[in-house]
Amino acid sequence: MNWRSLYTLPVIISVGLHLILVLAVTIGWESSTIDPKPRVFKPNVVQAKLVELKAKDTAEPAQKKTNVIDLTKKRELEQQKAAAAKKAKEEAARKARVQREKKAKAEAEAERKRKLEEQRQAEAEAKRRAEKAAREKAERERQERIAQERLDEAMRKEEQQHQAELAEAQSQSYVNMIAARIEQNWSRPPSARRGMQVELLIQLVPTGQVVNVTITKSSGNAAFDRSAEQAVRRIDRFTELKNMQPELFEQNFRQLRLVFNPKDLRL
Amino acid sequence: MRKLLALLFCCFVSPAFAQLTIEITQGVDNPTRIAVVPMGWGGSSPLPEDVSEIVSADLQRSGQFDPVPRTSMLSFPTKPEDVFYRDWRAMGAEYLLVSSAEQRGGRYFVRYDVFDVLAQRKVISAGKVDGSPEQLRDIAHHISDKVYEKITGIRGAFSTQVLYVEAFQHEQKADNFRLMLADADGARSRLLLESDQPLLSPTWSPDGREIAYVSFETTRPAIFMQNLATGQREQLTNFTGLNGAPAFSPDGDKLAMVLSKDGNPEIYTLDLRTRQFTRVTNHYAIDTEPSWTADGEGVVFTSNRGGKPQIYKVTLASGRVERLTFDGEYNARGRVSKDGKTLVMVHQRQGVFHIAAQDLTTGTLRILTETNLDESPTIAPNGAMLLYATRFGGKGILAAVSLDAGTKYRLPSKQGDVREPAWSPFFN
Repeated sequence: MNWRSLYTLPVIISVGLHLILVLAVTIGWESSTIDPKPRVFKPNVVQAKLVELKAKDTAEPAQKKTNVIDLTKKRELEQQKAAAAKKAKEEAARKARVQREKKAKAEAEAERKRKLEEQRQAEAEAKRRAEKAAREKAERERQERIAQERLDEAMRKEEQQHQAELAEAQSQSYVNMIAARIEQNWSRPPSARRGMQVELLIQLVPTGQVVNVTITKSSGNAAFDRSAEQAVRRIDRFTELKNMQPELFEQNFRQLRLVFNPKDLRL
Repeated sequence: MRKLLALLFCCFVSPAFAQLTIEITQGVDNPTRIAVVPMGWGGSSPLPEDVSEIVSADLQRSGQFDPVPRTSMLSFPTKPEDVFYRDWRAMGAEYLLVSSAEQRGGRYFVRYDVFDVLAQRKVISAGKVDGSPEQLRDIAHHISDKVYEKITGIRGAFSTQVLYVEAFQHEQKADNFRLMLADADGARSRLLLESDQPLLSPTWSPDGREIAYVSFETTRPAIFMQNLATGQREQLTNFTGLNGAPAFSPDGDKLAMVLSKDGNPEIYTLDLRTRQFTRVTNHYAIDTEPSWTADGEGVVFTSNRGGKPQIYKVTLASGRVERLTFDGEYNARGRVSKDGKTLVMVHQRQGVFHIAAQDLTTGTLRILTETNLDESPTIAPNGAMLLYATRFGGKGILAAVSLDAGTKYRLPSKQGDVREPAWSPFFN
């Protein structure tokens, strides 16, 4: 609603100006062009009245009159009055002085106190500011630290993930190599049939040497089971593993589960 | 923070500690390398038969083994305690057969041990077999059977026998036909019957004691049954027309055959106890070459009722006939394997006769032989091999092929044309 008051004046001025222009156009220029006859305006008659102020002049002489009547008495009285006044004045002055002194003292004290207070407040303020600054700084640092930690952690995670992926990829390539070696060495007996499955648990040492082979789940066909076991024993040593990183070996390759599940048999 | 890290570590590490599993889905199926060490023998004169050599040859012929040559052997242990696995491993042997024989009271006593060289343990410990001096080959085949079964998981068929016909066709004198019996390796053949008239279609009874065959000795084809031990013969049929292709039922109680006594060749069964004939097929086309299904409830036969020779099956109880072969224009002489899963047959492709095997569950057919005049397939009782007649060097011979077509070999050449083989059942 503020705009109304804001625009009132300019609007009035603008409207006024426009009116003047319109008037000027319709009256002034028209008359000057259409009606060249000079128009005479009658001056307005102003009726003024002079007012005299006499009350002051009449009151003044009456007062003077009373003062003149008894001068002596008045002087005595005045003297007494003066003495008394003087005394009073002195007393007052004294009192005033005392008062002043007191006041000054009080003021000084107050000033001192005030200053003290101010100083104290200033100190407190400074302290507060310092504290606040410190706090803010600490907070800022904390935030930064958290951010940094988060970043570090994210990087660490990423690194771990990367490592895991790398390890996974490496594992997979080793797994493929092992599977290929075994497949090249697996000679199935003629009694082997699709659907037979034997599970072996093999234990390796970091050189790739097979140290133990156990049949953990038989196919029910001893010849088939033995053929799987022999495939591993024939290899004896997975030489491909000797270049493997020790951690990867420990994690994945010390013990392997082998599932023999022929899918290439005709019968 | 430390907790979080520990947790993270766990998360990262725990799957890694999970057992890594490697799946092996393919193999190479090379023949098994076995070292058959010459049999230990303390006698003053050498053994009449080289038992180890027979075993080695048996195993090699099966196609499943690759015996180490004796000349490559670093030592000849005859007792288990003399075996050094390292030596055998060095020459690539996967198995090792060590044996020794001694003679007591005119009989040979053989002890044998089989070792898994790679696993360094015995798979056959102190196997024992004994026999007369004439049975040394049987002793060898027995050992082959045991070794084969242990290593392949399939019963060995080295101790079985084969019936076949030898034909001598002369220009000046009369033809000569011989019904022969031999070991599965072709050795020790002996004459069962000789005739100047054709002999055809020898077949075994399921217990291996009787045989049946077709002889033209009465100037027309007739089915005879003969006891192998006594040599006693009996003529089972004497109908006009065709009397042929006898086949014993799996229980040995019946004989299926082809008779044309009622006009054209049809399948009949003969109850061997009641001597009752039963007509099985009734069709104006030729029905011939009967062979029993594994369960004995049906008979497969060759018929041209569809226009071309194909193999059909008739269920005896219902008489329902079902066509089995659809691949190619000529399929004949069907034989069902003992496990009932495979049908072997003579299959013609582009004018050439092959032996083929059809998977009865999937219907897929595969050609087993590459020569072009192959006939009369007969399956070994263990289902691993089949024998068939073919021509080689201008005469008929017997050849064998494994049912997966991986191994082929020819039996030792005989005089004359060899035809119509029949692989015996297991004898025990």
